[in-house]
Amino acid sequence: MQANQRRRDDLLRLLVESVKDYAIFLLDSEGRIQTWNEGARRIKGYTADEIIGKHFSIFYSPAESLHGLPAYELRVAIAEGRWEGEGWRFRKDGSRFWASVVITALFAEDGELVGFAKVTRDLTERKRAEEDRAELLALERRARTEAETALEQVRAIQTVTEAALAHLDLDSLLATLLDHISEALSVDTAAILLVDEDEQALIPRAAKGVGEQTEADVRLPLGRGLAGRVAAERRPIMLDDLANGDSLDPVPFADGVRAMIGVPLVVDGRVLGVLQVGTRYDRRFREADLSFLQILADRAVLAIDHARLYAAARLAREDAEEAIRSVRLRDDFLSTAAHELKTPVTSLRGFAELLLRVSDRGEALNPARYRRAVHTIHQQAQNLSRLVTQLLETSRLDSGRLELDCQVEALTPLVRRAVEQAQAQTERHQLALAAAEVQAPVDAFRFEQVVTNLLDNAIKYSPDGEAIDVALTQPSAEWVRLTVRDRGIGIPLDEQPRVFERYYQAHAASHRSGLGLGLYLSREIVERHGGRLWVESAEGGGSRFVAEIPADGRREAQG
Amino acid sequence: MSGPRRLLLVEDDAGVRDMMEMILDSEGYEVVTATNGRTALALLDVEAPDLILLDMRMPEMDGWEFARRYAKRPIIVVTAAQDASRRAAEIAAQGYLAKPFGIDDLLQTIDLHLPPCDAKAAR
Repeated sequence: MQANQRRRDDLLRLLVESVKDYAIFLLDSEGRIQTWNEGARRIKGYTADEIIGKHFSIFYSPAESLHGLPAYELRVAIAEGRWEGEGWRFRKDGSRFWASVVITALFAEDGELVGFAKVTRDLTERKRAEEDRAELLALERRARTEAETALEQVRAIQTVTEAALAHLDLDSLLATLLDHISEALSVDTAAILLVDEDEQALIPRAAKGVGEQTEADVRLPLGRGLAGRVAAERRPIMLDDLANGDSLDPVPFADGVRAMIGVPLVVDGRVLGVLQVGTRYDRRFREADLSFLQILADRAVLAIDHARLYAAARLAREDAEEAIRSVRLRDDFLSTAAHELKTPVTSLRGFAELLLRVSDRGEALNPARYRRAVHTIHQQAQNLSRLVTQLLETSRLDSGRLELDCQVEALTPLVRRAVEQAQAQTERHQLALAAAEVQAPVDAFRFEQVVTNLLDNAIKYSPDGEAIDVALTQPSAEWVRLTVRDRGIGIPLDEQPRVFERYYQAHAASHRSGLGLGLYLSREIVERHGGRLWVESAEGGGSRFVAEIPADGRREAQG
Repeated sequence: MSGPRRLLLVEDDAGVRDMMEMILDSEGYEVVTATNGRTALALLDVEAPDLILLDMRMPEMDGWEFARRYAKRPIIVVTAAQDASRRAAEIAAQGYLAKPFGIDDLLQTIDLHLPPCDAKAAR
């Protein structure tokens, strides 16, 4: 029996000693190494001679030993029969390996602790594989996140680019850009400041998320403040902690903002302005945010430049069109004025020369011809004088020198005189005046001009020679009213508001005479009296012009 | 012997028309007047003027339209326009009178462009 037992023990020892994949050894109750096998030598690098008698904490890191990990494991083994675990252990050469360890407490039959059996496996390869896999997983996750972020950024860039293309109006473009940019970067405030014309300062042009802080009057000199320095130094600047004084005063739109980034808006080497964003929360901007903002800014600046050029081109085009229009209007007017002035001068000159020539010969025209010549000279001189007056009055109006000299006047004789003079110009028209006795504070010279203009107009546009009715009434205590009604060719409804426009000629194509100033001047004069002048279609054809002026001098009150 | 030379005067302004008519009449011309192109065209059905004096800016039918419809010449353009000679060239008129013209201008221009009597006789 004894021999058999010994033989079995020997076999067991041989088995243990020859196992190569496991370190199997015994510890005494204190943890000192008692036995050593081939596996232990291979895994840990010590020979049996070197290690037997040493404490097993030699396999642990100094820190673990110091914190009592080896002793703890033994206590667990004693208390629970075994301790199992994994961890880094150290070889003789100082290299580490990932160990799977089982420590079993060994008790004598009387329950006394006699030592521990320790079985250790080297799982470094498995551990490394696991770590590699975890690392790969992490890498994949990170790559996925980065790809998603990049995709979102590409989308944001796309959105900004599209906005840039869609808006040609600078203000709406800037507002849209700020919307997209603040969404893409999840920021609370965003603002665009543009360099002013003198290239000396930045002026806020658009802002978002700044509430009532319009700061429209802010002029930020280049080189000062966050944006000023961004523009002057042509580089992005981050401010991490505005709340704690990390500040570059002055910073517009910084109320309640914790951190800000400003990036320059540069196109073709020119700094157009600065794009700045801010957060009201405790957030640190990262380099990646800054790079992304710069990418967005680079897209935005092209659009801003484009919109500016477009606006400038449009302004220039409008200016040019306006200039062409006014030149054409002036040319047309000059041509009309030349015609209108030269025509009476032609007959004046002709008749005057005729009279001289006849008189030089010691002859005389027959009385009828003489009368016609002198009458025409008189009439054309009056006509000429009226045209010159109109030109002078228009020039006075233009230069703001048309001053009314108002006195309370009896209007009836004044209107009667104008009607008689107009009647003298025409034999084909019958002018009839129905006048109440009314008076009003007027500039007599100008008021008579109005009456004369309206009468001339009525005559001119009644080519067939009809009756022209003139009425002077006082429909209320406040108002005096003059109406001139003709039975002429009339004015289409849609043309009626335009007849008071300067240079307007109701029937320009038919070359009816006039400068196109009479009604324009008349309305100006009536309005300066605090009154109004309008035209309506008269029943049975023709037009009715109505002028109303205050009877009691309310001109000042009416402005 | 041929009778008095006949002139057609087309002018809308009464003052200018009266003046020209009186002068030309006193110079021995026979003057027919019209106040616009349309009336002038109607007159041409019955009258055969030796020369036409034509204002350009007129109501109803202006000088350009009249010249387009009436192929016979000579025509003398009577205009207040700055570029009277160009106006004349536009409608292939023989001459022009720029307002305000004097009596001598008027008579000399007519003299210059009035076809000789024998031309009329030969026709």
